[in-house]
Amino acid sequence: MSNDALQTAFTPFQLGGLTLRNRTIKTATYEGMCPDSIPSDDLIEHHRRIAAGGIGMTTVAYCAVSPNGRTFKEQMYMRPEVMPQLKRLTDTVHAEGAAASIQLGHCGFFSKNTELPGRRSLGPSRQFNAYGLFKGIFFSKAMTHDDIRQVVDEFATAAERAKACGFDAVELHLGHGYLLSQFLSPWSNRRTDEYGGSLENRLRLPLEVVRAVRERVGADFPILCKVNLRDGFRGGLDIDESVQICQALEREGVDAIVMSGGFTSKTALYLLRGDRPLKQMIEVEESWAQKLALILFGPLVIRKYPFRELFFREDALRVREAVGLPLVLLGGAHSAEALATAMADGFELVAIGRAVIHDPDFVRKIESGEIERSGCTHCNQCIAEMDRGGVACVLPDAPGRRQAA
Amino acid sequence: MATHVRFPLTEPTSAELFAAIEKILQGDQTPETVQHLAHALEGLTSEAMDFFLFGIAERISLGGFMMKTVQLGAKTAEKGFGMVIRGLIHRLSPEQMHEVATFLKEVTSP
Repeated sequence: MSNDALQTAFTPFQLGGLTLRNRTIKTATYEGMCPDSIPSDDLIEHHRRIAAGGIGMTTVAYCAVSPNGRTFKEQMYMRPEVMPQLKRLTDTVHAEGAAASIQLGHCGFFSKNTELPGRRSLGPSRQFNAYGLFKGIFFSKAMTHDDIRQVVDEFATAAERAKACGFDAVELHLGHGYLLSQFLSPWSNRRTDEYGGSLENRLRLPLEVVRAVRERVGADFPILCKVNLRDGFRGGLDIDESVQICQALEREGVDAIVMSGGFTSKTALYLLRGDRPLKQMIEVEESWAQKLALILFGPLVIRKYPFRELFFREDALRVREAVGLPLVLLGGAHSAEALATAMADGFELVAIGRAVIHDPDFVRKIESGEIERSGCTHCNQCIAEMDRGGVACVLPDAPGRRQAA
Repeated sequence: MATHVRFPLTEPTSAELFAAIEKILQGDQTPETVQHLAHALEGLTSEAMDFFLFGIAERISLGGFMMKTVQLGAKTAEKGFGMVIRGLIHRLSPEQMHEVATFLKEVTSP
């Protein structure tokens, strides 16, 4: 792969009204640093460290748009009380020369949040919720039109607040089996009204959300959408429909699409690939029943997917052929060669997750030629660390390993 | 015996479990062996519940009524797990059975 292609990754990029210093984005990976659903100083330091390591834009992960949009009750949700701390976060990231984005989402039926009214989660259709089983949240409620209107407004309000916090962009979560993804997926959306059935109907809510967010944040403020290329199981969303979804989002005026995949409640590791940290997940699981269920059925419930670099590339190229808006290639960009390949393929931006968790200076070191490849082994034990005080690499010599207090 | 997942298994249950696991890992997936494994897993479930539920209930000195409620909940949960174990285990492919046995060995070995 040519050195020119690699160097392209380190040139500025114009995303809507925002100029990024380079074409790398720290993808949203749940940090586990919001005790009592309030962003901690550790969260600020986590993103400062990544910004100082040369990333173009860092993304704060998994912010729910409302209290009822949380997967679990410790998850951050956008509200006035968290805004001063988020403002500190964006100021800190900006001081290191990077831009800051925040991922906004709603869990839909996939919830074990015991603060949900009536212990009922919301979804496109009534749905059995295995994830909430041991918390008494057995089924979701099919959303009414009032619920839908409320969720649209919640996304718009959350985006407006994110902008007021100093974020340079928002990422709307349309993937991974959360609410908007549940509407898009033929597996979870069994509605018979104008929000279900044909792809045009399944797209209606996500597009209403994009439109409402755009109205509140203005024309220049970048809106990114994270979408699934595939849900990763039979009966779920596939690449042909995903291409049409990306075309519809382009027509709606989003600024970039982050291409991902997987459905957390069914194909949890599809979006990561690599080892399956079941033992570590059992260790950190607080619910005895869920712990037991993982021991008995873990290997059946959480499937293994082998890792290879740029594992979404082939599907992403299908999208590349079909749309002209900026695309963010995600999934196993762990080396200089992967970055160069992404640029040579015509993707404008590259999202990086575990390589930056392993070493927050990954981007700077690749740019300077100090390293060619990340030391991340895709053991995925960083997932379990999310529940042990915050996402961090566990490898002994990793620069991103959590420092002892 | 303390295991990786930090709940103790009694000697008879662990002996039964490891015997079934070893047979399966050696390629013996006859209905008898699978039944044997299902039985051992039900034993494991019951002991895990004793440890997690009743251990905690005793530590916080639950009163008689609350203890009865816990017992009732535990019985229901145990039945539920048992039904899932029996329902699922006979439907696993040889590869899945091997995968489950490998993982069980890994997490329950001292």
